[in-house]
Amino acid sequence: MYSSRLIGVGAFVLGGAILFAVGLFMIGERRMLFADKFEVYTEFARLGGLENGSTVRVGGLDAGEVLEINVPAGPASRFRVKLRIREDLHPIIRTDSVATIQTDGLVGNKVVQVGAGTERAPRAPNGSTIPSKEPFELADLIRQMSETVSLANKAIVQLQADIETVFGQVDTTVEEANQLIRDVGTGVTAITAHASRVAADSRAIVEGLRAGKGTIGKLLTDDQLYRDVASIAKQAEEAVTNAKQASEEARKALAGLRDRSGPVQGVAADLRQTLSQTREVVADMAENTEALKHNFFFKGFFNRRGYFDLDEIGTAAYRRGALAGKDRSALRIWVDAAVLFAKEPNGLQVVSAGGKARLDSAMAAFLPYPPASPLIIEGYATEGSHDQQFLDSRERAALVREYVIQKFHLNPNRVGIMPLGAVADGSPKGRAWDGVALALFVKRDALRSPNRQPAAAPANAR
Amino acid sequence: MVELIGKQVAAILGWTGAVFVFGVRALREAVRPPFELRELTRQVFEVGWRSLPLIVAAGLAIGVVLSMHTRASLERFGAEALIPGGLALALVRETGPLVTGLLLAGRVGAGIGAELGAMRVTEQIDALEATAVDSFKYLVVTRILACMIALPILTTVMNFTGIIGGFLAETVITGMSFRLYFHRAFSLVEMTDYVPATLKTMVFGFIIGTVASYLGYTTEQGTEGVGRASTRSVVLASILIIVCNVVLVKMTFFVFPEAAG
Amino acid sequence: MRRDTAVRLERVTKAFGGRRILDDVSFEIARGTAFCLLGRSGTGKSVTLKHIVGLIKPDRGSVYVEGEDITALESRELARIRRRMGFLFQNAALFDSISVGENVAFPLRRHTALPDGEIRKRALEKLDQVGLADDYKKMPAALSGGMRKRAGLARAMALDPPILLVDEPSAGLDPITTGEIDELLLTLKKRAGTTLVVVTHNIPSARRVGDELAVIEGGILIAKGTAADLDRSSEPTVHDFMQSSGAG
Ligand SMILES: Nc1ncnc2c1ncn2[C@@H]1O[C@H](COP(=O)(O)OP(=O)(O)O)[C@@H](O)[C@H]1O
Ligand SMILES: [Mg+2]
Repeated sequence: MYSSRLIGVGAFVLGGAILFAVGLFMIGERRMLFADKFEVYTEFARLGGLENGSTVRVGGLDAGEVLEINVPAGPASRFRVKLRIREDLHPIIRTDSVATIQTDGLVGNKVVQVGAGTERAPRAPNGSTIPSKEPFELADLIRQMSETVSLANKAIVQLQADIETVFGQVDTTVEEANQLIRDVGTGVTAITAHASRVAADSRAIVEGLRAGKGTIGKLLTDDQLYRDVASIAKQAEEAVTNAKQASEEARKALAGLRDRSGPVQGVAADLRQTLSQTREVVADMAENTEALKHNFFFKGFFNRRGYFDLDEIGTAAYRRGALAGKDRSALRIWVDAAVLFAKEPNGLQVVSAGGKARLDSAMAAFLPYPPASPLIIEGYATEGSHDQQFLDSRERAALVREYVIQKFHLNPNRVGIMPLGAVADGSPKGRAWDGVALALFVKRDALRSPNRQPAAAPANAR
Repeated sequence: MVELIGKQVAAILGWTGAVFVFGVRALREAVRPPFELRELTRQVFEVGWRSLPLIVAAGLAIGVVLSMHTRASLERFGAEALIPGGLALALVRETGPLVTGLLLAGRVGAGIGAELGAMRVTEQIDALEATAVDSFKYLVVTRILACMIALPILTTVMNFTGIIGGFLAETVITGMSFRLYFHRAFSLVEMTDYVPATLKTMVFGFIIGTVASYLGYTTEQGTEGVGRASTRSVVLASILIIVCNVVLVKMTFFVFPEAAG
Repeated sequence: MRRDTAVRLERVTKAFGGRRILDDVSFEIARGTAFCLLGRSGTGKSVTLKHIVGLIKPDRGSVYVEGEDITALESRELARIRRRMGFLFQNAALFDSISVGENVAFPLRRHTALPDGEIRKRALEKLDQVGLADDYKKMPAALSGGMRKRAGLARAMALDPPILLVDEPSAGLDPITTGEIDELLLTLKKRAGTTLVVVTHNIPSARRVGDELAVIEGGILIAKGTAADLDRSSEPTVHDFMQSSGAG
């Protein structure tokens, strides 16, 4: 017979020991201290924060840990990482299983993900080394991509200038040369149009990346995204090469034209060929960056901003209030065409000195508002047919946009144009307007706060 | 003024030294026969078993509160899945050991201080000696050992009831199963978090037992001396536990650098 | 030193915090005799008893118990000597966390290998001798002062020690019970040859029990001898003392 006290003490000590052991077991099981294991090596040039004890996953299943990390002997070799993996997963770890470093969820813990191998390859023996794929930094990649794109853009613009000077130097107008100039002209216009779209889109993506810092972790693990960005970067490089080649060919064509001895015909054909290739590459690139921009990881950012791209808003949607809608109000300043524009001797329409002064004062009224507010240059024209009005209004808006962007160093992504023909509801002249209106779309809360109140309230705010 | 402070410092150092010598003497006596197993059992019962209701209740409450706090902070990052792990890590590494130590300093420290103090002033300790019993071994060593045995166990109980408390708070909101919760709870805890933190509470037990026994065993001046021994035990043991905890945590990091993460 | 000396104090001097409590105290108690220590409160009687069991060490002088100087003994040896002594504290000093019966059983449990039943039987016997047979299971806090005193005496007798030290056994007792305790002590002395050291204020008791009486005053042993010797003493304090009825 034992006293109840002795039984209590026995229960207390034994129960406590068992409870403690349960804790040990739970940790031990997770660390797989009690399971059969095998070890393989893999190598990385960059660890991105991987440490001893980091989790190893096989096909997404927690399967082991990083046992040790050996520092490379020299710059040429890589970190050698020893992985300990549950023996029961050995059948799917083959010599062609690829190890990658990934980010675990939002906390940012680094884990090694080991993919299943193929049936053809033998099992990775204990102590062998399996291939790896380096971790990549999306931000780096995109930065690199947009640099290449701007390089391509520059090369193409340079090409056009080259070609123009080249053919400008030709005193005799050869029928062939004329033809070439026309071809090159249209080709280059198309290419630059695409290239500037690519540049704009990649700017938007980098912006989205910066705004969505919290999601970077996820981006790093998205293989598809990596492939997209990588292929765009490759296309950009191709475009640069093409543009350079076209430039070279143009120069050759010039030389041919000069001494009238070269195989002009052949060179011109080559040039055409290269240009059309370049155009195709750049068009593809434009499509890809466009798609990348719509990638769902950036959606949140663009949704919050309220628009993907100002030029994507059609006039009909704009008139319905695509931008003014929900939480933004438009501040409008109307400027008459008579004040704004002048015609140069060669017939080209430009912004006049008086027009510039008027635009400067109009923009001054907008300065107190958050710089992120989108600015739309609405173009209006009352003369001529319907389509003439449209074209005129677009040209006017484009001229004004160009001017204000340059003068005030505005972010081109935030300044759009909107050719609206003749119809102008609420203009000072009633239902029609001839000229432009600068419309700033300001968040309502920014509008309300008194210290943000502009000194001179812009006319006709609605 | 400087002289006064000097005297105070000297008094504190002298006191600490006396307690330390007292505790070391107890440890040395503990390994020499005779072993007072009967009395040790009685003390483990008093210190450990009798503290269970307090520890279980406190553990559940702390689990619920910690769970609500971790939820509030982790929810912002969309990392709700980490709630059990974060809670268990906080409990096992710091909250469990420290709270158990302080609770026991309150409950047991006061009890031992008062009991031994009363035994001293009513000559029961002399009576033990006159009965040819080594009162130090019989009263002091057993109490210190009982505290050292009980604290890691009570800390473990606190850790687990804390996890259960966290589970209760969590399942009300998300309906998570206990199996999953329990599994996730141990997803971030490493051996180096668990074992040293639990075993260090033996030091807390040593502090509680030694300080309270010292104050009680050396009580003078009659009944008011007993009350003083009791309250002083709680205050001084609590302070020493908090100070020692800092040292022990640093030491743990030194011995197990992995635990510093 | 006579071979049949149970206890001998030799020039024992003790001071507490600079106050001299015992000053050059010497006496000798023969085996199987009863020694009664008399004196006013606060004169150092209890301190003297505590010297005999080694609870207090003298500043100067020696304490011999059964021929051994206990002031020079280390704790294990001291424990061996203490097992041969029973001590009733002035305030009984019962262990208040265990029952009255277990208090009496405590020395038996500590120092004998007897089975539990036998220990209980013996403890109950001792309680019966002091008239507390019905109080085995009571807790000490539930007893009156006089009952606690008797329980303390039972505990002191538990191991049937050859030397029994009792500090004011009859304080707070009615005259009838006092008589019974006296009888009990006399029986122990006669039947078991127990050496008795009794501190008391009760002169009739001392006359009845004591073979030798000593009076202590201000830490000094001022008189020593049989009751008849002290009756003849010219010392006024001794004279006053012997004339008092001194109950309590
Ligand atoms: N442990 C001690 N520390 C300090 N003083 C003591 C101690 N024990 C006894 N005294 C003092 O010694 C004196 C004698 O005490 P005591 O022997 O108990 O007297 P009594 O003769 O009434 O039994 C008292 O004044 C008491 O205060
Ligand atoms: Mg006394």
